[in-house]
Amino acid sequence: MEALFSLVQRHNKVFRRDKTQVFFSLLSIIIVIILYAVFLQKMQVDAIEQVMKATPQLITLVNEWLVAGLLSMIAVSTTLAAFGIMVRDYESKATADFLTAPISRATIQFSHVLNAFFTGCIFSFLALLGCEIFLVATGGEWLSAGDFMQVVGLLMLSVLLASVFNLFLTLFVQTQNAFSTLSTIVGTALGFLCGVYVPIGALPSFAQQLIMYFPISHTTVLLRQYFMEHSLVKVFQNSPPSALEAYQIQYGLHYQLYGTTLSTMASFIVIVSTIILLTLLSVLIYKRKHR
Amino acid sequence: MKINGYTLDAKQDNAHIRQSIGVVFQQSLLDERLTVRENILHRGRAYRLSKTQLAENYQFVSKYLHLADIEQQKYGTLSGGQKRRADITRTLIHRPAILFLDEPATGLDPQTRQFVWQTIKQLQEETNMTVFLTTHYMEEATVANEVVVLKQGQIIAQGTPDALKTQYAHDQMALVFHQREEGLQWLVAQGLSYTEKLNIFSIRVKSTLHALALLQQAESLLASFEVVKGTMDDVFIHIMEGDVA
Repeated sequence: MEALFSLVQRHNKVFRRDKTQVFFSLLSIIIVIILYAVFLQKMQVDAIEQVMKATPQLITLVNEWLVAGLLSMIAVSTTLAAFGIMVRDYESKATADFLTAPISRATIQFSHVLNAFFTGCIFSFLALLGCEIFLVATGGEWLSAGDFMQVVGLLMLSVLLASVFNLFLTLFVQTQNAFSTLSTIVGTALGFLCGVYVPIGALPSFAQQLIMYFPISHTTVLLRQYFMEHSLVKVFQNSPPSALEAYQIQYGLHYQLYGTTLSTMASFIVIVSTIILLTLLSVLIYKRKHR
Repeated sequence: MKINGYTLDAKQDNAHIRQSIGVVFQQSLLDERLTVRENILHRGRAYRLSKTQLAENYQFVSKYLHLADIEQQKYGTLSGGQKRRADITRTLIHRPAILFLDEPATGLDPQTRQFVWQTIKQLQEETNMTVFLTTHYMEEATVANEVVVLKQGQIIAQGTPDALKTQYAHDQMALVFHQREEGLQWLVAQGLSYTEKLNIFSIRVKSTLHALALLQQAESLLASFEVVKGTMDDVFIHIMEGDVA
């Protein structure tokens, strides 16, 4: 246990003190924020304004939509960056040095997963605080204590999903070169696959299906539902229910697959079963890799 | 095979073996952005030591390797020699019974190499630690108790440095004659095989005393001479060439 904690602490220090690495892990998020500030926010507000009157709540609604997307992306990009330490350790033979001590390969592997999880949690929590301040500063309201706890729980679940997802991916990676390619691909694809750059409704149907089958996008969906709950009521109070439903489908608050709308519970099931499946697969791959 | 009394490849002995050994790798493997102290303590916590035991060990080894001036510095900012000191301290943190060093002095300046060597030697003498060292520097092998020469993973020679020198190395004598022709005649008359380079004749001698006997005979012909003792370098070269003195 002592050895495991020591390893996790060490990975964490190594990650935190590498400022460039931290910056690059947040790069895709920074890009979203810039895109949003420059034109994405205005595009969305304009689009919704065409069907209803603009209110201050509308800006908040759109901001909350962004925040939900950002938080789901941060979980993935920071946990992936944390696994970068694992790849670097293998390549630099630091892992070989650890193995001269009486700790097992599996302990080392597990320490990297734990580190990814903690790193993801810390960054997600900080991001959540930052997002809340942003929402309130732009005219929104604080989450109630109960909602806040639920969002924190949901974030932890999404970080757990991101951790096993990235563990699974990095098990196929041997070198730092390959890892940086992987990071670039994930960083680029993530914004699309979570429907953050472009609302899902604006995409052709095959792309929509791709997003719906991408399990991490379900955390985005759930986060949107939590963050936007109150604003949705306020913005759509004078509109017909069909307008609200159309908005929810268009902006990925609910997925509609083969004519049926997926429930919140369905998204939870997708997330939890993906976690279980990827964990099992990772263990299998890990065992095959090491005799 | 047994290591420190534990059987290699026996599952229940695995941890005991790793607790008994320390390995200094050829490359520096500590974390650049952690301080020397953090590096050593983090890796030290991987061993089965109590907190107080770890602290005591750290006190002991860091003093031994003179870490006081660098322990708060980031490992990445250290010079090659300082890094090596930190590496060795990390390896000794659990006070292993057996220390493996993989070419520890490669790429170090002569002064640091000396320091590394003295430290290892002193440790070995004071703590009775067994030291395994792989090296390409034959001068390092000279101070060992036992030398094993490997070729393609197979042991091809083994023994104390003295025994190996006797078996594989030989002393050389370089001779310069007043008159080249006279000297040449004398060498031929003695039945000595020689090589010549710039009027300097090199011959192989069995021992220093053998050299003395020859020198007495040829005294009047000689302008100068030099006797070169066989070294571990010669031992290595001869073993690799498969040739016995």
